[in-house]
Amino acid sequence: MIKETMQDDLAFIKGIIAESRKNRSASGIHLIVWGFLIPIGLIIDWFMIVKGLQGIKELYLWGLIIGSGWLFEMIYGWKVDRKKPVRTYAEKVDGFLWLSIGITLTILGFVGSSSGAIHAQFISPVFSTILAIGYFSSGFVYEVKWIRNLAFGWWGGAIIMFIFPGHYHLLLMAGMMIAFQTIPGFIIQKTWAD
Amino acid sequence: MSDFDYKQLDDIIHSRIRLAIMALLVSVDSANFVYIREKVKASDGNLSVHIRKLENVKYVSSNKKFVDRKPVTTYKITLLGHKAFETYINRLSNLLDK
Repeated sequence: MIKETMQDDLAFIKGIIAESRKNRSASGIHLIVWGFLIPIGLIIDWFMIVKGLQGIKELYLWGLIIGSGWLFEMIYGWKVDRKKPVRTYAEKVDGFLWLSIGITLTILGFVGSSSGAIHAQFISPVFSTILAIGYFSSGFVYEVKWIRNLAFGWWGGAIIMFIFPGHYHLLLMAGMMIAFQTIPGFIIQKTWAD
Repeated sequence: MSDFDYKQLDDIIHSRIRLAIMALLVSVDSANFVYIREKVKASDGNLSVHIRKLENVKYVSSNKKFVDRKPVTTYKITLLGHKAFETYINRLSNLLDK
């Protein structure tokens, strides 16, 4: 009798743990917002280069784009994230991973390029390799193969952009953002959103 | 101690509702009172009493904050709680294996 109760207890525990771990409430909204802002910035930047408007104006453009993205993150974090009834370990790890990637990309984009440490033509491939790390790790954390496989798209694009430098990077990167970030963001939002 | 001595099990955890709370909190980073109540299907009063018992032995920690002017209490399992739960599961498994 006691043994049966204990077996029942163990099954009960396993059931609760399995159900809680299935809780994938990751939001695709972050991917959608950045996947909307960055391609706009890249396309405008490409037009500016074609029209010979390089320099400080590009910095203003990216300041506006990146500033809007971070402003959204702060508002979303305050309005939505802190109200979530439960936070899984996967969400916590993934959140910190993407926060660190966001900070890294912001530093590389503004300080790295304006200081001349990173040549403007290699910003896109460098960003691409870093985004690949994010997707590869997120896919692993959430145990979703197709998210992990997006990393290969980012790495592949980075190789092409490293081997063949040029201003076309901006348009290729915009296309990659839409294919490997905006669309996946919508899929995640549709599948997992609360 | 007999081969099948249930007294080896932690009394604090060995209650269905507290076991459910511990199992839930061990598998997430944090959860609020309402979420736990819905998952373990307990009443407010019952859950409060059992969570307090887990807090008293420092298996669970709580954090109170205001969201939209409403008080929200969030719970997390502590390192001590993790260890106690792991020990409980190991002992339970060992007893069943005998």
